[in-house]
Amino acid sequence: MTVFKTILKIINKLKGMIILYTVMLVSITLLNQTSNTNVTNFEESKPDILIVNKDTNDKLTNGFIKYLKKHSNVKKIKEDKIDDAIFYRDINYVVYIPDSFSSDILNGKKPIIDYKASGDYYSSYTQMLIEKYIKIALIYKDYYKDDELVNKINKTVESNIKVEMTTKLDTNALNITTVFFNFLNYAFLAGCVYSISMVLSILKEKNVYKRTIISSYNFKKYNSIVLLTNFFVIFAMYIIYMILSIILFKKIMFTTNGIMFMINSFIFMLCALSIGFLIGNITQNKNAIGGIVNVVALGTSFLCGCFVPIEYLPDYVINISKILPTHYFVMNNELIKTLEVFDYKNIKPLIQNSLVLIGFTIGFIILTKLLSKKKNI
Amino acid sequence: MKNIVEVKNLTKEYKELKAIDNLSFEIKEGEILGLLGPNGSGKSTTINSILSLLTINNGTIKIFGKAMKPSAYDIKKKIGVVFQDVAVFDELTVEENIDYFCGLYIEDKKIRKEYVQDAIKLVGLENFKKFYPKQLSGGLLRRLNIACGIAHKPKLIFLDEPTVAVDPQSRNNILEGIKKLRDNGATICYTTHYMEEVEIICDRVIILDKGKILASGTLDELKKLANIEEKVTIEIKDLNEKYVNEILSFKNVDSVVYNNNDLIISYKKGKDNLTEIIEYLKSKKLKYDNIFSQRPTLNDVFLELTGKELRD
Repeated sequence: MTVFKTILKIINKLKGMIILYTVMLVSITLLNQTSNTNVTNFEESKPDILIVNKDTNDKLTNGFIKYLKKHSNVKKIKEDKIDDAIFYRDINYVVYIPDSFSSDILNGKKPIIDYKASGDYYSSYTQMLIEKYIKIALIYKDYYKDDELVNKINKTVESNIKVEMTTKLDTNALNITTVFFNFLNYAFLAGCVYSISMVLSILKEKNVYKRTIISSYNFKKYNSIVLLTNFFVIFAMYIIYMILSIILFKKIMFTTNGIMFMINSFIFMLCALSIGFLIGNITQNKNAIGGIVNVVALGTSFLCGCFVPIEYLPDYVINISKILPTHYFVMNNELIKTLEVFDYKNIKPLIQNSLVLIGFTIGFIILTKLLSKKKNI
Repeated sequence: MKNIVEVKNLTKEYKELKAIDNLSFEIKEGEILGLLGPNGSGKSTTINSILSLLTINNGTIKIFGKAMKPSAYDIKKKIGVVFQDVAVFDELTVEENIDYFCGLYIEDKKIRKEYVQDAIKLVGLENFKKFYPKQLSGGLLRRLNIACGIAHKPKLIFLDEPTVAVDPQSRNNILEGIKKLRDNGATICYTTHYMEEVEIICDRVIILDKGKILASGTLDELKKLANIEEKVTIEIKDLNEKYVNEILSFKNVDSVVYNNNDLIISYKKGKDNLTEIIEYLKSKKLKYDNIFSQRPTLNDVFLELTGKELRD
């Protein structure tokens, strides 16, 4: 118990940094929570247009103009002021309806419509409105005539398609949960590397270590206690983070997705633990540990899409990140976010990524053993 | 007295260098054995080899009658070590540090608590129990270092230059503490390059140089090796070489050195030497300041054996 208690006392002295990593984790999650709301408002915006009609006032042309008026703000501007109006964005689009507009459609020919546009989103939208009307008119002219044709076209272009989301997932909550778990990589890696490296560098300080070796304390037992105490501390950290996740995302954490997030984090915790032991064995310099934490935790977090969503990262960065365990942890989080059916086909990539993480863990353990053997020689 | 430590033909080599060369000696129960030698003479290597911290090239080491090896935990239980460099945790208080190192030997919490308080009392750190090492002065830190090494009340204690860079007050405290440990029944092996310390506390001395034993024995036995019995130093200005030669021709004089206004006369035998020289100076009407006589030191022994000063 002496060694166990002493390590806990040492960790207690280091708790400031670990608390800081946790505060950062919670802060970033809360920031994401407040910036993401469930309600998305959609409001149709209307472009400002000018219609110059050279066609006779037949029913088809009038129907077209009526449709355009409904979906845009039609302005009245003198012809010589048109260019200035477009330049100053007083209008977004000028549509010149040719005199052959109706006859061309009725003859199955696409009318050539001249236009002047501001080149912005509104002008593109106007272009879409025009294209849509003409396309439908060219189809319907073979089946309907006169008033019936105009009515059918207008009815069709005004009809809305009801889109229904078939997923039952709370995507917004899952997105925020994923941000939390992705950032957990940083908190875990920084916490593990910092606390384990510090504990090992303190315990393995040349003179203290010598005093330990010459004592009557069984050295194998001593090493096992050091290992288990570190595991105990990191596992306690894991439990705290999981409790935090339950507090923050109660709805998600009691679903299969939530449990998957927890399992994925546990596997990553083991990997972070092995990284902590490896670095703790390489460095004995307490002053260098802060720098190493930044390189390892911050570096991998940036490369693997913990801070910047992975979809915004260039391909070459994603390719580089594949040599890091964090990549597979983040990939799993992103997969869990979208999972709805948990059959083998869907969870297969999750299992594969988890196996890669376990492989990394075993690799780091072997490397640590080899290095410590080399040191002892 | 039985032998607590028996070292036979101990040799330790670092590539081409023989750090310890065929060393054989014993440490007897209840004594303070001093390992004296200049820096690099092999004192620390000898201790590290005895404690199995180093792999030896040749020789046998027996402690408490049993062969010493890294896994000899029953032997290690009775050994305490105080290294030259301070080995404590900066993150623990004085009391916590002693408790930790004592805990590596003593599992019983109640006994350990008692032992820790005894160690604190022995080194005089009662008022600094809750202090962290960084808050202690160099001397107090050394005392803490000692307390950590002896708190479990070992029967055999190795002290490797425990007074390096320590103020005189702390040094006296440490030396008194070591004597107390011996009086309480511990056997002590004390390494140092301070001959004064050896003369104060050691019952027996081994003089080492270049990994070899130059001489060993009690202080009196060793001083006989110096071939002088008395050394008289006179502070005298501008002494003519003629007088130096005249003094050199005195009956018991072994050598005369006049350097920096100090006249040092070494005598082979010592009776009425001081009276004789004072009368001579009076007869020649030579004025002098201070005059004092001393017995040969271990430095003289070392000088006699190696032709160089102990601290060269």
